[in-house]
Amino acid sequence: MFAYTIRRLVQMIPLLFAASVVIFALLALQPGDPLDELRQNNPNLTAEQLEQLRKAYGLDQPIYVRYFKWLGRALQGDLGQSRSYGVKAAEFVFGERLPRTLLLSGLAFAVALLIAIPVGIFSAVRQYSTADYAITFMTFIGFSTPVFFLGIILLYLFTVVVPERTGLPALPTGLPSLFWSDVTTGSISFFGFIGTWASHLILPVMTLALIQMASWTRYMRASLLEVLNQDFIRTARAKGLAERKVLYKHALRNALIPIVTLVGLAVPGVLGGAIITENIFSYPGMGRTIFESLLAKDYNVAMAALAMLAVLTALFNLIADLLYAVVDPRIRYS
Amino acid sequence: MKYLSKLATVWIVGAGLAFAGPQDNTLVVGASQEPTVLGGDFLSIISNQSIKAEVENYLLVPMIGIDADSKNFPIMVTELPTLANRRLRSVDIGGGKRRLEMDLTLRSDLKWSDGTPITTDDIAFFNEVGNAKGMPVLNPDVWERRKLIVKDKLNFTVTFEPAFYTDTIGAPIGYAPAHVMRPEWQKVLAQTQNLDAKRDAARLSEIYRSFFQAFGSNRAINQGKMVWSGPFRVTRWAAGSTIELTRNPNFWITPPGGADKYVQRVTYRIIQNTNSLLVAILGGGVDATSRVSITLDQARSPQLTSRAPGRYDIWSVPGAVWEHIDVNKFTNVERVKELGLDDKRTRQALLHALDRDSWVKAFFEGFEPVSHTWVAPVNPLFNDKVRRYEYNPDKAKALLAEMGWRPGPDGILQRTVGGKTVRFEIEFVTTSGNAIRERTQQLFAEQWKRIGVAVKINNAPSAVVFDAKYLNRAVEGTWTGMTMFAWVSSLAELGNLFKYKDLNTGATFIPTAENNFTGQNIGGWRNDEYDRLAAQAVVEFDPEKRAELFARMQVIWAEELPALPLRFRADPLITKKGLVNYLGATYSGGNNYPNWLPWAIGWTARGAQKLFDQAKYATAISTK
Amino acid sequence: MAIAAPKSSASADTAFGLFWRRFRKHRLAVASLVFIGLLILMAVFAPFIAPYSPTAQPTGEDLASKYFQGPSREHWLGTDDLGRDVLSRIIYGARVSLLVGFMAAISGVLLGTILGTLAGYFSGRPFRFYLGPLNRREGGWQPPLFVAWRVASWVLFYGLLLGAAQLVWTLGGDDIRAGLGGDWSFANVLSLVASSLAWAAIAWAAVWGLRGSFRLDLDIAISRVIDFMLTIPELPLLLVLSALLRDPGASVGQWIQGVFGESTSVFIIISILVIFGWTGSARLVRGAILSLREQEFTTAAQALGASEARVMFRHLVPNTIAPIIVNVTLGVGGAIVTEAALSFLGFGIQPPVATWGNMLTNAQEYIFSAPWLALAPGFMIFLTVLAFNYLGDGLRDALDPRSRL
Repeated sequence: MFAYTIRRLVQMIPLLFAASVVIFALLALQPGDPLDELRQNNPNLTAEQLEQLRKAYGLDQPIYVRYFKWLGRALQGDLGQSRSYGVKAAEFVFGERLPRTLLLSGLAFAVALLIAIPVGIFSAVRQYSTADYAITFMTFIGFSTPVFFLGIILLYLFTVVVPERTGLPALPTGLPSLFWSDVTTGSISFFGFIGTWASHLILPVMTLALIQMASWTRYMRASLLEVLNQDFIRTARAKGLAERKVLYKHALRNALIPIVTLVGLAVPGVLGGAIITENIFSYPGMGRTIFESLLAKDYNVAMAALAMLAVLTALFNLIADLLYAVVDPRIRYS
Repeated sequence: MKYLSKLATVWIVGAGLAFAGPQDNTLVVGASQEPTVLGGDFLSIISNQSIKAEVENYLLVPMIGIDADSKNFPIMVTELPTLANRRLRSVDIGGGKRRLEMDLTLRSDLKWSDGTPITTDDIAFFNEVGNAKGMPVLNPDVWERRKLIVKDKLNFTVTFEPAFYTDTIGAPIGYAPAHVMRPEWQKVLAQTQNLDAKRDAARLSEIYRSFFQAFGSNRAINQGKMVWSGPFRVTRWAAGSTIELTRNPNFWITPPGGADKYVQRVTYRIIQNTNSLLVAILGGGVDATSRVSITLDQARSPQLTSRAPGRYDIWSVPGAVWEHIDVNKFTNVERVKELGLDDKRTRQALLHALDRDSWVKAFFEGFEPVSHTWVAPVNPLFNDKVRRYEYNPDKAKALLAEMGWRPGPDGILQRTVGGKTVRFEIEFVTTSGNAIRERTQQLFAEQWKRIGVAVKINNAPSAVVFDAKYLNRAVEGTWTGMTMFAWVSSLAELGNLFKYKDLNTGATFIPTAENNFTGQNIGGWRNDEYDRLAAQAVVEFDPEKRAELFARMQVIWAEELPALPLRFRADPLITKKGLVNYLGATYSGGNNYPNWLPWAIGWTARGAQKLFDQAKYATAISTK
Repeated sequence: MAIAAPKSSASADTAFGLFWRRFRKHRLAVASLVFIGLLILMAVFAPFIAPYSPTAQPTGEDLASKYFQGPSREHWLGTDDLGRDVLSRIIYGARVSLLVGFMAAISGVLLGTILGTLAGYFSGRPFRFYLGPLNRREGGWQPPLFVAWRVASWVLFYGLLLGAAQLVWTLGGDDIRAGLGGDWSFANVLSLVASSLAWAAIAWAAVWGLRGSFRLDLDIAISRVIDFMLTIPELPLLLVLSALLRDPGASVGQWIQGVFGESTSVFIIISILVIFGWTGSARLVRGAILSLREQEFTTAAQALGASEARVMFRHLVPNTIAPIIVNVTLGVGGAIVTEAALSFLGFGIQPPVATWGNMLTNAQEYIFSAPWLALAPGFMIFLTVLAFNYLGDGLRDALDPRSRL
């Protein structure tokens, strides 16, 4: 197992190298360049002036030279400057945007799993019951509802309709206008700080979790049903074990195996942020960072974010594989 | 219980709802964009977003502003330079070219927010930084033509050579806080002294950007690194959420009745998604909208108009963004020749087939007017008396028949060109995801079908369409028919969109391999008379004579019809009742900024005096 | 479920008969099958069913009154933002949506299942993938298929090498040709070093290819390809492809257009969905197979002399059917919605062609002025996904080898 892990880690190096080359090339080949806007807005620019600007933006060099320059600096921990913000790309992505996504998407992911897994189990145990049909129905409504509609409807409901009808305060959205220094200077208590953040997160977390719950419920249900049909469960029942014990001691453990893998594989996606939810609820996380940096042709930021996602994807793939071997003793890695 | 009530208070303050508006003499503005930097980036090297310019209207006023009537007005100078007061002089330097000299005097009571006087030293600093070697300024042509001569602490002269009439619009030059930024700038100079403008362009640009960032980034602003000259200064900028501005006591202009009668704090709430922004307005959390906010469609939504009576005024402010369809006229492109797109009759027929009046009525309730040329109706250069193309399918058919087109078996026109039978199927490109354009496109496609013209829609995301390798290469046939998009125009109209050649500078505007595919005349239209008139007009400093020249250019344009003019966009402006002097007009502040007179924005309930009437500059959207 | 089926007649005992008898018991599955059948019929016979043309717009001056109508006798589901009949657009929209949804989900999962099975089953048993033409290590008789693969692998290897050489030439040829020319700038030196290294590597590979040999574990190969696919960001890739399709210089667009003609757009969309869609199911199946191949019944089947292919596809794959079916079900809905997003990126379906996906996306614009526009396409997608789910349930119960006792 240890040797396997090491081998996989070593295999990751060429993989990540290849991924970084491809991502860099994709960004360099994006339609349009940072000068398009200037070219369109200022027709008085001469070809010579444009050439000078191309040089200033470092666009005059061939792609591979730019790549090696980027790689050389990246290995020293310098991911360059953000074109739109002027700040260091690494600081912007890892220091500002990533923690926010960890908070929002991570929370939503946890909520979704905490609800979906018990519901999926219930649905499987009561297969073909009315409750199961109702759950199936609900999950597919959740699955077919575009995030956009759900988000806007919840937003409209809790910030306009409910306050208008009941006089309750509107649920806040977006980032709170608070700094940590507000706590240290005493203008707000620590719990006030946490409470404010929590209140701002209610709607986006609810939206994201509702949407994700649907597929997790389906996977959990299918996985458990699969196990419940297997011989060893029948044997356990034939032995006269109590149904509870069969379920929780034998079936569930096995049914969770594929779920663990799926969760492992889903984590990088979670860290990639949720662009639509972030957009509706004015929450600048990773999803919006990647999208907006592409639009603004802020390639150092896009590269930092995408490279980070590539590393995380590779890492969590490995973790999923290893977990699989840990939870399923039948699998051997040599 | 005590804790709970505290929490509730925090919650409400966080949402910015409870104390907005006249109650505490503040203003909450809803914007759909956030500036990435403010203040320190005074040459707009890092960012030239319009939201940055808008917020900076509160913070760093221009020397000369542009009012709602598109006229210059002095903010920092004692009087405007005019030909009459001899502060403005236009000198003939031969070859049809002119030099412009402007004498300006700063007011003696100008102060930065830290109390330091604002002097010509700040202007000289601005000039020095902009002229530094390898500085990637956005408008190098202006920097090449402009010279600054400082006479003393308050008097200076700016010259332009060669000069264009556009040099007299707004402030001729900017300024920056030398006492704050110069020490850092000296370090930059030391760092860059051995670098070469050409060879080390990328390195230079990076050093410069770091310099601007050190006074413009969110962190720098919150640390108080920047000083301000406007009626407001930044007190808190929570990135991604709000920007809070409070009154600057050192500002030199006092609005009628005293500054305390006017808004004391302005908070920008940033909500990128315009639907979410609309919801925030519906919820009452926004007092007024920014220049960049919801769409006109959203402003007309029943949810808003039904809640508006007694609460909001909803305005449609005419804009200067021109939606049109450009047509490929490059005769070397095979498809252009086959369809005869280089012949004005084809283009005229295509326009006669469109019912643009019904279109703007159905889509925009008429708030966005049909355009007949590229010049906005509110522009002083606008000419109303040009050829108009009414909806007339029969005339369209007749024009096409003249060109040899006959209905084919499938109802689509066809004709024989060089022994080959050609079906009238024209490619039609626009930016996908832009709902109004895609909807318009389908309506037009249907109307063209009725005269026997088939349309092949080929849309792509705006990044792809606006890629210079696509849009600017019609000559290579990247797009072979029509492309629908918009140009943003301003008061500084030079006619460049349709010039072949600038006879003053020699620059060409049709993108071809010769000029490295630069220029805005992307469809490739050439009219020498138009070019000649344009060359005269841009160096004509008499407004009436200039308007006359532009009027003739528009007549030629409308007759030849190089592009199909569609409409001018309008921008919504929503203000709570009782808010005054927050006023949008097409060119106010240069670009329809509602805060072009930031010190006079106030609530009537708090004693603010109304100085202007919005109804003069915009149309009210009816509320019910 | 474990009750043995009564033997009514000999013919009923064929595999299909057995399957059908068991499937029939699942009433919702049968209903779903009928529903999907009807949907397909609706799509095929759309011109006969739809009351209007899906693209017909009203005429006249007062267009606004004909836009955004609610349900009426003339228009059962109302009209859209251009006054077109929503019902007719739903009926016609089924054509692209069902085609894209079914094809993309099924082919993606099929491809993923095959590759995942191969990877899982052959994990730890590397194949000799490449043996240079001058390498004589394996003498004697060899199966024709193997010989064919050997020859094909030489062609492939040297073809790829040629491609790489061409790439290096276009990217860095100038530097080699020009030399340093006295310019010692960092970029110039670096590009010279980089292209020299690239040429050295190509030369080395060309020599190695003659005598070298290479064993490869299928599992490692497929898994690393999956890892690689997962690390490639989709949006930037799609934008680059979109621009490439429009570049007359690259002529990719014309080539695809020439091969696929009218159905180009649908083909491109399905391909993109499959390329990005197979990895999930491949990983899932690979994991399941890794576990199943160690179980007793696999060993038993192998001991009884079943061929590898038979063990894989008759014994192992049916045991992984549950997650596969969930994958297909969720995939159909996903593909129908993603189609609209891909079309926005400039691939494929252009307006005014109706699809459920673009109807739903378009409805977003009118969420405040005409929110009901989202209902019809949303409901159709919901029903289709639900029907696929029940169909999957029925299929699983009917196919599950364990209930065949």
